[in-house]
Amino acid sequence: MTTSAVVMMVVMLTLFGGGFAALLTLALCRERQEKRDGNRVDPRDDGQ
Amino acid sequence: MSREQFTSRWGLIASLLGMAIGAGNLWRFPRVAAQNGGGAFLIPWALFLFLWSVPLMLVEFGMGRAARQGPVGAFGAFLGRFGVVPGVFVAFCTTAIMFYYAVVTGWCAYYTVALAVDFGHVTSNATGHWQSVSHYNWVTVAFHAAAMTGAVLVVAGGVARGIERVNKVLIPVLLLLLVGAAVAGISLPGGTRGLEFLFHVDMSRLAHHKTWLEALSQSAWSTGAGWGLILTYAVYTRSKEDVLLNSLVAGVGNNAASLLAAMAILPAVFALAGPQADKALGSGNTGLLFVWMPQLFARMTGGHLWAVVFFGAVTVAALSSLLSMVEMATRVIMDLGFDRRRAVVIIGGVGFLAGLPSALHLDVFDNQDWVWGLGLLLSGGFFALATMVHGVKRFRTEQLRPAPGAWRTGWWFDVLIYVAIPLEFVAMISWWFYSVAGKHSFATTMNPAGIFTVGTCLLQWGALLGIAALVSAWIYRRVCDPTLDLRGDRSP
Repeated sequence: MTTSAVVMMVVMLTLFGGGFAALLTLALCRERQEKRDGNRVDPRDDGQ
Repeated sequence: MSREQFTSRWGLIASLLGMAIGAGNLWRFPRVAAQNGGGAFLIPWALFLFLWSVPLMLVEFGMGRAARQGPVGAFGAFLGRFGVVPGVFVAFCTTAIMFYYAVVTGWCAYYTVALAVDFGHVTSNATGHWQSVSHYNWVTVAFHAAAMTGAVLVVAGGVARGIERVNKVLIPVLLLLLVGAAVAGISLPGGTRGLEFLFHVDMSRLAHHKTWLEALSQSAWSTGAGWGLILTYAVYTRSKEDVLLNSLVAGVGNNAASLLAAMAILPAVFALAGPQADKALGSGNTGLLFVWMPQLFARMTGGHLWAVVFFGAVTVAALSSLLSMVEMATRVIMDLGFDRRRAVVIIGGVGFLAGLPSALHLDVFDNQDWVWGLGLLLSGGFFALATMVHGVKRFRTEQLRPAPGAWRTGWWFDVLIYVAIPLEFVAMISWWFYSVAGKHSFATTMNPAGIFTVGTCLLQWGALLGIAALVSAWIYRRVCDPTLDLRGDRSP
């Protein structure tokens, strides 16, 4: 593979593969933090 | 009355990923990326995720969470009686896609089973087999019925016990299958030629308008933004959900799945098709998936197993997207006053019958894919228009107001909705229509009975908008809650 192709592959995999893993981890960690804070149930969410 | 809700953020994200990752990631992205400059295509494709898909995802999240109704009710709540018309268009456009998408899911499931049971028969005459499957074949109808039934059963279970629970299983399985298929493809002798083709950067291709427009179209169709599906899932989210983070996870995850699919398919095509690789990539979505891929698996060591793995992945991707479409259509019927069970049975029955013509003849399938695929661009335009009429800054500050600790949607959202989305919409619609008009006479272009013509789009869209306008007053009274008027100062 040419150098430019390898560079593009690394950039794309980092942006989307790594980005996805990082964002998903952040989202799930925040939820865990919310649960730890006992903040899971929002009074605005108890039905309508 | 208590409201259905996703029980966890992972459940919501898995459902969003299931919605976004579909057959298009596997049968369209690798082919279009390879044909439009590989690495040069990936640059605008990555950009348009943030310039088209993410802002429309945010709009859908905001509308669904505020209105707590499907697209028809949400557009009515934000725009009033006449807002029902674009709401009906958005809802029907995605429902019309659901009709033939159940057929696609059935085809994928059929190939998974057929390749597992009788690999030699399917691969020895792949062209003839596909011809047989796609034209008046009652086995195809049975698989279409099975796909619709499966989706109906899941959606009937509700959001938490049906959609969320199933997607929590399907998405990890899908990602594992895609990783396995990519490793198998790259490991083939000569497989790295496919990677070279996918990631090679020919900067001169960035000067071609086609590269940009194909990248924009792929991003618009692939992420599910502007379909009304995210709006529907947003109905079941908490008020304090971090919508920007969730939109980014779904969008970036969708693109990651597309890359994995391309890293599975292109190495296999280049390693196994040799000089016929261009022909395989030029054979269209169904041609590549159902004619070429089985033949390529037959030339591969362990091809029988990998064929089942690959088609299993496509089936899972298609099914998880079908679930979201069935849920959206069901939500619209529920908003009319039906309970979930009755609504999903209606949608299942209508979906099966309306999908039959596409199951029986490929020309009908191609026509519907053309008309409603382009219709989705119009749907995206309607979402942007609804936000502009409502007031973009007002929408951002009221409907996208972040909960404590959540990411804030900034002024860039206003710029994207006011400037980028309208420009992108006009460019895409003009280009796709010109792609027909530039090749044919005016009479052929405007033929309403043609398969890929401007006339057939205008006829079907016009009929839908006309009917929606006629029944808008009745629908508004039936669906929209007069106490929930999100128009604020504009209300009469």
